[in-house]
Amino acid sequence: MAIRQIILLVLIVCLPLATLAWLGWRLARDEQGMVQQRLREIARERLEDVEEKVAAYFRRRENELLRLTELESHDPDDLRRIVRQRPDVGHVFVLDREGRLVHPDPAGMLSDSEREFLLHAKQMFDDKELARAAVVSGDDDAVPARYGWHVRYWGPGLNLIFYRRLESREVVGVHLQRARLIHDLIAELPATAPPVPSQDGFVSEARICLVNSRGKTEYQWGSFEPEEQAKPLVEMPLCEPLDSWRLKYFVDDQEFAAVGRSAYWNLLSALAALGLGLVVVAVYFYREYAREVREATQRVNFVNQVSHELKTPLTNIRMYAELLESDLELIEPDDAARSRGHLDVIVAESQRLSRLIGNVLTFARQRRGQLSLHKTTRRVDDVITAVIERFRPALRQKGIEVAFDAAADAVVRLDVDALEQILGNLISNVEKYAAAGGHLEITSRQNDAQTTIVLTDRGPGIPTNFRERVFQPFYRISDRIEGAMGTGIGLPIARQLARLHGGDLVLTSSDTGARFQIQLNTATPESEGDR
Amino acid sequence: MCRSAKFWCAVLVVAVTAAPSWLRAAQVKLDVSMAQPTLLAEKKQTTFVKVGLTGFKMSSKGKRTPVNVALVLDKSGSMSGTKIAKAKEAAVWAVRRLNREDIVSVVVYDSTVRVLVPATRLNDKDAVCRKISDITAGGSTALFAGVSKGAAELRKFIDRNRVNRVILLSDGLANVGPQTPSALGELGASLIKEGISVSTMGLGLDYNEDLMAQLARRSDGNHIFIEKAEDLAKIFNFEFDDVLSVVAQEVSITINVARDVRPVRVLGMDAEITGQRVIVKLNQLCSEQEKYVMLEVEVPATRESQTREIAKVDVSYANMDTKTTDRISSSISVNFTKSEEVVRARTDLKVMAESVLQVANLQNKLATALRDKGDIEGARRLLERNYVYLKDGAAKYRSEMLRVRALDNQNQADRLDGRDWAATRKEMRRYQHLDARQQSY
Repeated sequence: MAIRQIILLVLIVCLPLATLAWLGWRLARDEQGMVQQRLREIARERLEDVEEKVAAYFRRRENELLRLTELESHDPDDLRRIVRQRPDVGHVFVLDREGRLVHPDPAGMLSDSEREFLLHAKQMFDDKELARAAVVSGDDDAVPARYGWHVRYWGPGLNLIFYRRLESREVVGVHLQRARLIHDLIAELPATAPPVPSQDGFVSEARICLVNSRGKTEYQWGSFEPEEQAKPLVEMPLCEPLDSWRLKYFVDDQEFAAVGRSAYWNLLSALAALGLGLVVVAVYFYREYAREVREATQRVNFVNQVSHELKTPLTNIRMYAELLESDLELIEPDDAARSRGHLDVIVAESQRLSRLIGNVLTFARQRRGQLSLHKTTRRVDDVITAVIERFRPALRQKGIEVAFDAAADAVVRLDVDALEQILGNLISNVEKYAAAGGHLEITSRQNDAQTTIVLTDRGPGIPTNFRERVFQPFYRISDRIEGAMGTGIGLPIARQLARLHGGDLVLTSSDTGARFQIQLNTATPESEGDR
Repeated sequence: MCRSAKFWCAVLVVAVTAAPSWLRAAQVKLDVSMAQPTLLAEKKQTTFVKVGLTGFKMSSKGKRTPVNVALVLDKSGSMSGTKIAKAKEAAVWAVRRLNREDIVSVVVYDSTVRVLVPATRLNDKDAVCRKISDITAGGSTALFAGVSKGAAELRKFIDRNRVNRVILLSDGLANVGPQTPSALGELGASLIKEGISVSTMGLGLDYNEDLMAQLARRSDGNHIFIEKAEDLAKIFNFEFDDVLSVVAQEVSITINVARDVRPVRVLGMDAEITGQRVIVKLNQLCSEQEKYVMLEVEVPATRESQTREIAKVDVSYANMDTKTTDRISSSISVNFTKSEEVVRARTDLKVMAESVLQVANLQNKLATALRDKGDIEGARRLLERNYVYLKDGAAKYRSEMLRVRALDNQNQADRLDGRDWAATRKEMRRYQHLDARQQSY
């Protein structure tokens, strides 16, 4: 039994814990996801700031270059002076209305640098790309764009060309020197700042990389050093015209994964506290239960102990009473009449005590599952007769007549003590509760293997709805019935014994009073063999 | 009475004629000369025109051009140990040579760039020196970004009346960002247009000397190969000597070559040659030091009696003393003779020696290229020929400079193999740079 209780307690502790753990884990995971998402957003915002800086830089360059290309003359010397004086300008060129190259004049005198530029940009000029790029695609009568950026790849990579279509429909182009472009971007973008303590729960160090169209880093800042093949937390392309370049934001992956872990710790500590509480409660209840069980066991043990203790003196009383009975037979009947009467009482009382003790012991044994039968061969009617004889004085005193219709005189296998106990309990009940009826009828019948004994009295009877309850231990219908003595275990024991004997004890309907039917399995010695 | 009056009259005359030379503000001296002022007649030939510029002495003693310098120090992992320690010492030492008028910034770089000391007037030298002393090494090498941030710091106080210079110290290969010699060269070319020069110091045997040399060459800065970290302080000293003695900046030389004469090439420097016009830009001239442009021209066959104008030279520069833009001009002609003897006798030895130096410099560059391709034998032969060429020149034109350089070439010819090559190559670049630009150290 204790194991069942323990299992129950364990379940009481574990089930709520498990449910809460699962729910809480999901909650913590969601929270961690949210925090990480928030961090990603912060990183994205930082990258957007950078992108805005670059966009602002290009807007400034556009304005400068627009001013620069407000050329009065296209005199080659003037144009070359522009190249010589401006650090960011690699080359300047002019196309006529038909898109043909006017300056530098391919047929004229060229410096080495100009020759090299024309070589790289040849395709752009041949295909008249700028003239076409200036037209917004899809429109027929579109007004060509006045100015814009054109990207070409040669040499180390991306080259930017700013072009502007003049009123005269000529195009002036400025090729930005590539190294200078990167230099300018580097000058705009931040250097690595001295480390600051981490704010708003953010990871402490980060690295931002500006990566070109081939995936190589052109510039980077931030004190964190990512692994070779690390993936960025967030990345985004730059604005035009450098939209083939990207910004990448790197953080320590482990640190990032650990962010928001506090939610899990909170969950864990909450569960631990709850678990502790539940365990304490469970332990408390278990101890209470154990104590009560212990006390109950102690009570039962005590009673058993007492009963055992009582048996011995009781046996002595009966023995000496019987001796006294024999002695009295030697004395004159008239003189011995009163003593005999006294002796009868002693004997009856001691028998009752015996019965009571017997019931208690049987009850205890039955509770411990230690009840068993000890069969001998006997005639049922003999046993019934003996029991009736023992009760006759007490019954007579109460004014109860006993009629025995005996028809079970076969020799059978029978636990005599069990039958005696059953009959004793039933007759004692009649004595206690049905004395008013004044009559007790006992019949015995037998067939092959079964013996049926019926006891009918003329007392008040037992109402139908109580017919099963009377067989529950400690149940007594009412204390009103006179002679409210009794332990309430008589009937239950009688039924247990009958059932143990392969039969049953039932309360059947009757007009007059209570009608108890005992059925016992009494196989004959020949058919059973030795058990 | 008369004698004393005469005396005082003489004094007066002397004073009046001499005084202007004291009072007159100093100017850069322009000296255009031909290697061979007299050429052989009736012969199409090439010869050299030297345009020499010499810096003046500042008018008042102790006066110098204020400086706007950015120290860009490599603190990548390879610098740890002695190198970074010596670099820090040298930088601190250099800073102590400057004064309150000067502006200093310190930029350090490894994988990323940190602006250690933003451009600031040097009011608190100790604070700057302390920051320098705290530098620790570790990481990779974002050289381009370091130089860029240094130039950005310079720009905060850029002034044509200051010497604006980035001094770069690196011991390694650039491996973050643009890292080719041409990219760094392009950056140098764009910085010189703003008046910023980058001097590059290569420390040890592992740096990329082409990258460092290109950056310096195209921005008209100095380049030096430092084999041992212990020499850093001395080199920084030389560099600062150079920086602190600049008297003219934004030097623009325009040579208009006469119509029938063909400009072939300028030896050793970047020049823009468009038709008959040759334009060369120098960023600075130092006090009492000469820099020159050696232009090779092709002269058509000319009759003996004729004098041919070769070129007109116009020079403009920012005068650091008077804070004005000065312009000076000159022109040069040659005459012709049938006599080889006369041609030889009239040869300008010094200019001829310098032209030999420049031609040998080109050959030395070719030898480097050959050795790079793996042709050790070809390179050695070329260097041996160069040695002979220089030795002959040394004798013919009585030039100590050529003699020394001849021995250098012979030395290099012996050290083209295996482990020697790394050091030899750096040395070659260093001297190629020095000779082409007449570097002061």
